[in-house]
Amino acid sequence: MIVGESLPRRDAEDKITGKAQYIDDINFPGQMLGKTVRSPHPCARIREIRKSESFDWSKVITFTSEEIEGENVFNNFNMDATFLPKEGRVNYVGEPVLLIAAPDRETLREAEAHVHIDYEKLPAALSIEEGLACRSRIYGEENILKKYGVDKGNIEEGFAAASHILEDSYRTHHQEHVYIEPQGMIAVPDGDGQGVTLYGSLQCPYYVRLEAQRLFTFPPEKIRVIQATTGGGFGGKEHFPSLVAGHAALLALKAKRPVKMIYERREDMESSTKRHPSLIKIKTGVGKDGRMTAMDVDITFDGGAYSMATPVVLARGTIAGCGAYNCPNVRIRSKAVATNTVPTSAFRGFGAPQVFYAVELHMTKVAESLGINPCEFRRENLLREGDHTATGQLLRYSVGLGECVELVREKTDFVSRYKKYASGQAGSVKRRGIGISSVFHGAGFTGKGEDRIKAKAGLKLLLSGGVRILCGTTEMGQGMRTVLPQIVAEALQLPVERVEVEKTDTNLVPDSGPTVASRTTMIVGKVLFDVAGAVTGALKKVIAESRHMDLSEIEHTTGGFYHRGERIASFAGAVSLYLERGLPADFYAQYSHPPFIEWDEEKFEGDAYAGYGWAAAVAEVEVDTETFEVEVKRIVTAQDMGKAVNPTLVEGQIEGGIAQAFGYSLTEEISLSEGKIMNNNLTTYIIPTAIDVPPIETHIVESPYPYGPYGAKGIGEMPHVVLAGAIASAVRQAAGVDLNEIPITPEKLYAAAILKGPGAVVHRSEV
Amino acid sequence: MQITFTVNEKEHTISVPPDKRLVDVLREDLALRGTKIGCGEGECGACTVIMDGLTVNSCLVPACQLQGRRITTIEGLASSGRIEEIKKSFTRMGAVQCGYCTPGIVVSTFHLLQHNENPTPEEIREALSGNLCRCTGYVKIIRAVKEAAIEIRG
Repeated sequence: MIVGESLPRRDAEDKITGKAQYIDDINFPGQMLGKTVRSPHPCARIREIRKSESFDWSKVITFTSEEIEGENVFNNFNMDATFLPKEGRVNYVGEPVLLIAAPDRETLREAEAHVHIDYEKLPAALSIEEGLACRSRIYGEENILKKYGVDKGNIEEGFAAASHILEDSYRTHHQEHVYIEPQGMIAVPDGDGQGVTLYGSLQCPYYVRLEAQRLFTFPPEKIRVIQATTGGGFGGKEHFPSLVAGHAALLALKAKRPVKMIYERREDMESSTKRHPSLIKIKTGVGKDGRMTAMDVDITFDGGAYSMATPVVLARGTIAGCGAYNCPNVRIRSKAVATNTVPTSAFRGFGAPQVFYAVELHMTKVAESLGINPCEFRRENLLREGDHTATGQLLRYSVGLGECVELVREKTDFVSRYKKYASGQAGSVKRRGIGISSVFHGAGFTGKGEDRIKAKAGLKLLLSGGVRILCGTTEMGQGMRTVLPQIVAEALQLPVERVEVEKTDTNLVPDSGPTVASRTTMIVGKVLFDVAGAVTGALKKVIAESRHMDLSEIEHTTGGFYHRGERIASFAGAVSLYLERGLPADFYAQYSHPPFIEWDEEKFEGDAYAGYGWAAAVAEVEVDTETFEVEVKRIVTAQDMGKAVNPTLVEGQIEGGIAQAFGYSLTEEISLSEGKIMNNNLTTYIIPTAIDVPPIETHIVESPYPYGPYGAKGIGEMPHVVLAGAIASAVRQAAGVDLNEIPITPEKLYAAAILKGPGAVVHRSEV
Repeated sequence: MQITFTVNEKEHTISVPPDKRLVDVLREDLALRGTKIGCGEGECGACTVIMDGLTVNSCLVPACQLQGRRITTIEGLASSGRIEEIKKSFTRMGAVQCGYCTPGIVVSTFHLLQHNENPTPEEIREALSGNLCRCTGYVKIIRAVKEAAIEIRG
C-alpha cells in the first residue's frame, strides 16, 4: 500500500540544490520594483501627500487610493478593510498609504525619501480595554468586529450542582509567523492593459484572484494567479498576499510594466497580519465525584484595525472554549474588538491555541485544587465517542483522544513524576515540573464552510497512461504534492510515479478552496478519491463496451482490469482505449459533507466539523528559581489524524508545529509602543533555533474517519494547539507561581514570584 | 569599484558599488539564486555561503571585502557532487519542507562534516544554530545530518 508509506517528497532535490524558484528568484524583462509607504501613526487622518519637486519623478510611478478604478475593498468578511486608505483615515502603524514603483532599488529609495505625508494624529485605542472603551471608533458603534454565544444545558444549575468552583483569567499576545521567505508578488500586466498575471508566495491562488478582481473594471477571468514555490505560510499567506498582489497589480497596470514587490523582513514583521491576542475568563464547576458540572467561558480577541479573518478565527476559538471535555452545562461568550494595532488574522490553530492554553492551564489548577492528578482528572472528563460536544454535536466516530492521553501518560511516567515534583523540591535551585494538555482540532471549515466552498478537484487522463491531479491547493512545505498523489495512486492502483500534479495556476486548476483549516488531505483528498472512483468506472465501461463483456464482471485492482479473474487490460491500455474514443480526459468532482452533518449558524449549534483531530502532549520543564529561566527537558506528544498517509510528513507537521508552539509559549513576545511593533527583526523577536528546541517524541494514533480518504483527517494545525497548556502547567509546578500569561519569559515569572510575596518563594533554603 | 574573486572555482571580474551585498552580487550579477534572502540582517542564515573556508551570512558581506576571495555557494556544492550523501539523507529523512532555509542549512552541514566526521547531536545543533527553520522543528534535520555523516564515513 502506498498510503501509509513515508515516500520521500518529490520536490526535495530542487529545494536542496537551490534550483526551486521562489518569487524573488523570478524576474521579468523591464520589471520595476514596488514599495509601500506606510503610516507611522496608529490612528490619523491624512492631510496631504506631497511629492517633492526637487526629485525627477519621470522614471517613477506612484499610486494613491483615489486612482483605484474598481472597488477599494479588501477581504470580504466584514468589508471593512481596504487596499489603500478610504476617506483619508489610517488605523494602524504600518497601514499602506502610498505605492511607489521605480526601475531599481536606489531610485526607489530616493523616491520614498522625497515623499512627504502630513498626518493629523487622532486618539488611538491600543489595547482590548481601550478598544472596548471606544477610545477611538474603528468599527461600528462599539468596535465589536464579531460576537458568538454557545449554550448547552443550564449553566446556573450546573454551578449549583458543583462542590468545587474555580474562576480565573488568562492572557495571550500576538505571534508572528516568521515564514523564512518574506511576502512577495510580481504583477505582469497584459499587453492591452485589460488583464494581469500575478505570481507569488501564497497559500490561496483563488483568494488572490477574488480580491484583485474588485480593484479593476476588467472581468475576473482576465486575472491569472500562478503560485511560485512558497517558503512557508502558516496562515500568514492565506489572505495577506492578496493585499500585496493588489498593490503590485495597481502599480503594474499604471506603469504598463511588470512590478515586483518583495517585503523586507522588518516591514513584514511590522505590518503583516498576526495571531490574535486574547483575554480569556474561565469559571468551572466540578462535583464531588470529580466530574465536571459547569463551564462558563468568556473570550475576547484583539482583532486589530480591520476584520480580515477575525470572524472565523473567533468562531474556532469559541468552539474550543469548552476544551475537549464532556461537560453537561456550558456557556461560552466571545467577542472580537477592533483596536488601532496591526490587523490580526489567520495563524496555524486559528483561535484555538489561545483558548486551549487557557483551558488546559485552568484544568491543571482545577485538578490541583481537588487533590487529583491532572491526568486522572482528564480521564474522568474527556470526550469519548458517543458524547456530545459543547455545540451539541454527537461524536459518532473517530475519537482517538483517550488513546493519545494514555500514550503520553505512559511514555512520560506522568503520574509518578507529577507526584514526585509536587512533593516539593525544597533546597534545589533548579526545580522540575510536568504538565499535560489534551485538545481537539476540527478539520475543514467550521459549520457550513465546506458546503459553501464546494471544493472542486479533478484528474486528467494522460496518453502516457498516467494521471495528473488538478487542484487549487498549494504546496508550502507541508507535502501536499506528495500526499495527494499517494491517495490517487492508491485509489487507482498505480505506481505513484505515474501520478503527476498540475502547476498551481488558476488557468489550469479548479478552485479546491484555500490551503488552510487542516483541510487538504481530508477534504480535497476525499474529492480526488471520489474522482479516482469515477475514472475507474469510466474505464471499466469502455472496456466492457469494446470487449462486449458484462460491466459487472469487470474488476479493477493492482495490475489493471480483470474479467473473471483474467487480466484483460493494463491501466495504461484502458486509458488509451478511452482517449482514442475522443471521450473527455478531465474528470471532476465536488465536495459535500456527509449527509447527517447539520449546523445552525444563527444559534451556533450542531455539527461544527465533520471530523476532529485529537492530541495530547506532556512537557517536562526545569526552572532555575534564581534566574527564572525555563528549560524544557522533553516534550512527548500523541496525535490522532485518522490515518497517516505519509508518516514522515505527518511527523514533520507535528514537530514543526510543536516548535512553533514552543516559541509561542516561551520566547516569542511582541512588544508594542504607541501601536508600533518595537521588536521587528529576528534579533529581538526570538524564534527557536536548533539549540533551543527540546527533544520531541512523536506518536501517531490512527482512529479512522470514515468519510476521509483511507480514514484520514487533518493534522496541520493541531500540533500548535496542544503545547502551550502543557508547558504552562509544567512551569507552574516547577516555579510554584501563578502566571496566567504566555509567553512565559523569565521577567514575567520573576514578577509573578515577587508579587506572590517573599514567604511564598519556595526555593529559599530557610523555608 | 572593480573586484576580482572566485565563485564555485570560477574567477569573475565585475564592477559593483562597494556596499553591494555579496548575496545580491551572487543573485543579480552572477545569476546564482540558490542563496536566499530571509532577513537581510545576518539572523536567519538563509544566505549562508562559504567564503575562504568559513561559513558566512552573505547578506552582511559588502563587495569591497570580496577582492581575491573564494566563495562556494549551494550551486557549487551541488554541481561538483560534494553533497550527494547530504542530498540523499535530507530527502529520505524528511529534513526538507518549504525548502527556503534548506540551501543555507546544507552549506552549513557540508562545512560541519568537512571538519567533523562524527558530530554529536549537540555539535550538529551548534553548527546549525545560525540557520533558522520554521517548518521542521529541526528534528529531522539533525537526524539527516547524522545519517549523512555515517554515509560519508562509509
